[in-house]
Amino acid sequence: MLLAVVLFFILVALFWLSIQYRNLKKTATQIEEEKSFMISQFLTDSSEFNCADESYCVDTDKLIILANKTIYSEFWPVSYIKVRRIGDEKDVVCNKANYPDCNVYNVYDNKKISSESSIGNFIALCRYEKIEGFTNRICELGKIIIGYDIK
Amino acid sequence: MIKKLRKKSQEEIVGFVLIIVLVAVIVLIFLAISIRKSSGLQKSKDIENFLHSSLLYATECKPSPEIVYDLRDLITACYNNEKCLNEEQACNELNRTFIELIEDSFQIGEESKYKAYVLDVYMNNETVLNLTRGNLTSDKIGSEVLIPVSGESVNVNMKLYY
Repeated sequence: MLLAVVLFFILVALFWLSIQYRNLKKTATQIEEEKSFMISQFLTDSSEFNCADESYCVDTDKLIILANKTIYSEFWPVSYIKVRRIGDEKDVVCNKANYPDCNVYNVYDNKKISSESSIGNFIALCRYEKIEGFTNRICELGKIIIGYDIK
Repeated sequence: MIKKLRKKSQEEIVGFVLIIVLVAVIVLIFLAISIRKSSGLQKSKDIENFLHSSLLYATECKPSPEIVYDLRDLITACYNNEKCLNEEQACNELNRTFIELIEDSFQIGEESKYKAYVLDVYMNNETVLNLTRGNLTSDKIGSEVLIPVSGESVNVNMKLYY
């Protein structure tokens, strides 16, 4: 009887431990995601990217100027920053010659940090454009994708 | 002697069964609580970001040649039953633009991660837009954003079912 009860409680404990372990893994992943989300939020709101008067908005004119600049290599703790416009099938990397008829901005690439994971956040990609003689702010939907190293 | 032994073993079996039943009830209560916790609406920062960013999206609706409406303006225009310069109803344009943005941004379908979505737009507590696509399941993530547009309050609420 005693042996049966002990065995039964061992089985129950194993069951409980497996549930707890699954929850622990889920929480660890959530914390990691939140951390990288905070980094991307911080980058989106930084003056190097943001629109002057809006949140959740990145100025694509600034992205084109920033592309492949190396002076930020010690400043941003990420391995790469890419911005991609949503809704296009084919990738066309932006440069000063084809802007704004392109959809991928390779903003930053730090070879010193290896990229093990990446996270994307929705942002509005805005620029000022002259349409039929009138200047308007044109915003499209995009994602800022950040590559980071998992510690 | 044999009778005594039989009685004792019967008591032991009853005790063991009682312990099993007790533990099973505790486990069932624990499972019921954890299942109830997970089946509610989980808040999603991804959807929150999507909604905030989408509201800045420049639509194809122009009230006049010098102005391009973003989605926030289009919600107000739809609420006021306005027309765009190309004679398209603002509400039709709002409907079309939101569907396009959602379906370009999230993979939705029977074989995809998300099975369905629901989007509701309210202005001053009146429904401006209601979109429902796919088969609604019990597991969902979602977010709600409340923004002021020209002195009025606009509430955009989106849920993704998986």
